[in-house]
Amino acid sequence: MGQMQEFTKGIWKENPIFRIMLGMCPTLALSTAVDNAIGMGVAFTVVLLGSNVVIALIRNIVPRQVRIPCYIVVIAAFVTCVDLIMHAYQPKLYEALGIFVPLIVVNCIVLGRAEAFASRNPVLASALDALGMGAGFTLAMFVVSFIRQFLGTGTVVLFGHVIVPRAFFQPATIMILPPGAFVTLALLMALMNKISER
Amino acid sequence: MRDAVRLVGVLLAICVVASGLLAVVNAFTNERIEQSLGEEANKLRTEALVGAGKEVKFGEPKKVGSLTCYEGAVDGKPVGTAFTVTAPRGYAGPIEIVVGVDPVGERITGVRIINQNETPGLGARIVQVNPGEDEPWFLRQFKGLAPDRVFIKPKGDVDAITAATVSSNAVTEAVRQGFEEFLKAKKAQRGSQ
Repeated sequence: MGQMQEFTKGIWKENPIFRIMLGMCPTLALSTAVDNAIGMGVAFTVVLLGSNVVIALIRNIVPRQVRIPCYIVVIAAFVTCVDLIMHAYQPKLYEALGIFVPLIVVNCIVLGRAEAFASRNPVLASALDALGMGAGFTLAMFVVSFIRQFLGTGTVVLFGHVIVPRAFFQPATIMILPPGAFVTLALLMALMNKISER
Repeated sequence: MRDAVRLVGVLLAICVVASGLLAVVNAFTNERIEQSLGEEANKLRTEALVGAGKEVKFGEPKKVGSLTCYEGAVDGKPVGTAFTVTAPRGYAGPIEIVVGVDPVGERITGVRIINQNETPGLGARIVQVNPGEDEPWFLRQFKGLAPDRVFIKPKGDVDAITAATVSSNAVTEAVRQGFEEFLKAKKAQRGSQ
């Protein structure tokens, strides 16, 4: 089994959102605009990479009984770093993501990867796993938010650049409201199941 | 016993390293965050007073009644006072608003929203900017109004946003009440001097 597989599995076969189905809350809440989705994806990937690497490094010295508090401290430290850095250098994005940046601490994917993967695998594999999971998460967020922003506002704007011009149809506001998130996510998941079945 | 020491020791060590890291990152970003918060607030105050793209110098904040007021000046000439009010009942939580008032204290020079969580596509249109324009059309309506005209039509001069009556009302009420409080407090201050 090549190391590369640790990376690619996160994108399709074990996609954190569509396959493992963790981290639904930020996915549903933040996929209203492509900018937010990518911002969240990057913040998430940085935290996951940091925590996975550190946890893989300390996996042999952390006693089993206190592993969860140890992981939480490591994850919380990385989240707070990302939170501070984002606040300092990307205030607009920071405001848009709001409470969901600090909430990465309790994101099930991060703790899930720490417990299920990084605590049992060497550093390189854990780093690749984190990058793959991060890419899978970001990609899934991007697709959901792209569909929602397009149908909900009639146009897709990425960091101030219009990448899909205003469409001819009347935008359906419900798509950027919470119900639109559930509908989009469910349809995408159904599509993915259909493809994987073959 | 030796086990317990080890458990506590490892956890303690991790916590110490983590807090050390955070202290460093905090020291690095602290100034930047303060600065960007200040810049953002100043930008909104500037827009509320004279519109975007101009340099306004703000003095130290002064208390007028319960309001914290910033007096702005362009090239040494006063252009008015900006203060923040909060609409307690937006559709989805409080809305924070900056109101600019001219130096005589008679009319509104502009209104800006600092913070809002209104429904996207409906209430959030209080900050919607139409293509080709440089300020939200809903907020532009407040410009030049005296307090007795800050009501939703037909009582006043403000057009409510279709399907967002609660948000429109919340902003309008908060702006008027803030303005009235400002005038009352100013009057009281003058009276006491």
